[in-house]
Amino acid sequence: MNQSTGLRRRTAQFVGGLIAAAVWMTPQWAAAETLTISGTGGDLGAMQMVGDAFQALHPDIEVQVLPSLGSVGGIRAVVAGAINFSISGRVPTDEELANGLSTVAYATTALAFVAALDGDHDSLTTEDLIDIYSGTMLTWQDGEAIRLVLRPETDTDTILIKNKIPELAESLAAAAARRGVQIETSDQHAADRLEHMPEGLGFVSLSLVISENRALKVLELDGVLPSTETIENGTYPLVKTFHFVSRQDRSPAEQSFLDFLHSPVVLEILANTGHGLVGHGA
Amino acid sequence: MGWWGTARNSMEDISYTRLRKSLTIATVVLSAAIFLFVPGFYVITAYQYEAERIQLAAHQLAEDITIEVYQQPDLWQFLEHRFVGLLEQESKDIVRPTHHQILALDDMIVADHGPEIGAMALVRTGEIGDEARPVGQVVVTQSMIHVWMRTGFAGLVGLILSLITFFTIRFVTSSELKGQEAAAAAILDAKREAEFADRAKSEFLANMSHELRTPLNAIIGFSQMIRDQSLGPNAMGTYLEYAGDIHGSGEHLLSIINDILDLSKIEAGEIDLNEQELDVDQVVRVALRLIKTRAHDRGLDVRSTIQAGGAKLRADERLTKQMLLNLLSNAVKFTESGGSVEVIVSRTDKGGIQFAVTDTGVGIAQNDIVRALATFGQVQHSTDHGIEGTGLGLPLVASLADLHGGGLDLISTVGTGTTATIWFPMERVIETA
Repeated sequence: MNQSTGLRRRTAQFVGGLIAAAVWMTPQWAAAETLTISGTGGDLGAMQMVGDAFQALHPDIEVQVLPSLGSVGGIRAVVAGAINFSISGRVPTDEELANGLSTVAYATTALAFVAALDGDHDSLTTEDLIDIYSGTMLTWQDGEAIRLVLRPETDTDTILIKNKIPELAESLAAAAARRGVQIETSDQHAADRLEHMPEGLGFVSLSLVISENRALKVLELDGVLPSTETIENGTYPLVKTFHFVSRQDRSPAEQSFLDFLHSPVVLEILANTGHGLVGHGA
Repeated sequence: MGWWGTARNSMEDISYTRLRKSLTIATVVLSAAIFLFVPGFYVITAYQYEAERIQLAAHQLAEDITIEVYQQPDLWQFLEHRFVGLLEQESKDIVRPTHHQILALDDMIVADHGPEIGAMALVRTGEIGDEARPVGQVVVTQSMIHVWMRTGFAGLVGLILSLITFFTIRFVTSSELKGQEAAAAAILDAKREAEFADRAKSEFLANMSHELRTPLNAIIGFSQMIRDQSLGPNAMGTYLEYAGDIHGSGEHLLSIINDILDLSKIEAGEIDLNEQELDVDQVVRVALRLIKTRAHDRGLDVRSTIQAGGAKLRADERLTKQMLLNLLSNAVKFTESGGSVEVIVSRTDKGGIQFAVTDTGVGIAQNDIVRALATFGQVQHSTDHGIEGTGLGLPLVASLADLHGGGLDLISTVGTGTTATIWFPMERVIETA
């Protein structure tokens, strides 16, 4: 986590430089415009940093990162024209794209099992997770009851775990059916709850933990700590891809933001916030 | 009793019939009410309970969604993932098949969760608001199949309860009414018997007065004429004849008194049988000898047939002779000159012995046979024909036969004659080789 803080400091210095440059540069657009971004909560923290960097370069364009609408809601909001861009934790369907949308996969991140910072546990195995979610293992090693925080059954993160670790699917379903188990409907809500629950256990995006500077401990899974390195070298199994969704008939400002997404500035931001980089395309 | 008594009986019958009909109607109505009430009460309360519960759930969901609307008033309708999660959480506590929908004002489906509910569904809505402005609604649709299935079960319970009620009330009231009817009938019968006995006793006393007074008058009258020598001192022959009449009247009076005393003893249970082995042939011969003179005097043909197969009878000799004499005496008394009297002794179908006395006399009407056998009953033809009689003979014979475990049967046709049969049971028959 100290490494992540250092990366953030360097990113901030870089963004500060960009802001100074922006003051010197002449605005390219005569009229002010606001770009709104929402979608899955797993990468809204990083997107806020990207938006800040873009706004520094383009002072006449305001970038607003809105609270999470989820992957589905974000895409629907773009289709409805309620927002300009949406981040999706899954590949948009052909049906969704048929509404005049385009999408680009711009980064990957790890789906990390996390606990509160002051917890005593640092790592888990797949067997541990099966026991914990199925209800066989109800307490941590120190005897404290394990408090599970889940995401809805239809959420992309839940689906990802079930697909990548099929033996955990049944245990997750059993946990969801148990009384007292919290099901949080957004990444931010899940992170909020886990931060204040020392005996809690849940899963959120690594990019969220780093970009939002969350007070959460990322746990090793079968001895592998989720990180940019383990994502890219394929040793960490739970990797998700973020897709940037926009309308095909984009305004100049929107197109400018989309182009900015491929800039070295953004790549550095993503690299510093727990992302793996993937090929870009429109 | 008369027409009033009959009318009153009919009225009582009608009253009981009406009461029974009224009770039947009331029981049917009560049973039907129970049958309808049980499932009706269940379905109303269950439906009300489910409706309130679903309405509460809809309101609660709307409240939760309103919080999200407050945070994102312009984008809340795109929060499907959050609302579906909310609905999943809600569904964990719901046992019944339930379908949730969150709709925006333009009927756009914001979130949809749960199976489609077909028929027998209950729908409740909760309004989603932003400040005071409605922005959408929660629609909760729940299957009510379980309520209707349980209503069917409640109907079955109601049916069983109503049947139990119906048959219980019917049984209790029917038994009670039967008891009351039987008691009323018994009282009525007792009253009729008492009235009959009272009338018979009055008739008996009147008859007895006549029967006792007649020989007494003869005794007093003839003895007075002899004492006063009313026909002069030379009418010895006539006086002797009067003395004979006095003797006959005395004997007749004695026989009446003996009959009365015998009946009294029987009714008091004071007669003990002096059982002996009797030769039935000899019993018949003795009886016929005693009655023969009187029969010849009346110009009657008297004969006997013994078909007992040589069997002997174990009975009281004096009482057996008395029974047979009584029947013969009646036969002679009520048979016109030229007629006949016959005694036939034979075996009964059940192995007993019977003495049948048949005459060709005036006979007894069918309606009077029961009366003739009653203790104080007497058929009124004795006086009609100027024939003496107390009406005690046949009841006495019947009582004495009963004492022996047997009985008296009477078959008669008016104008043709009568057959009176005394029968003894098989236990009293002694077979001889």
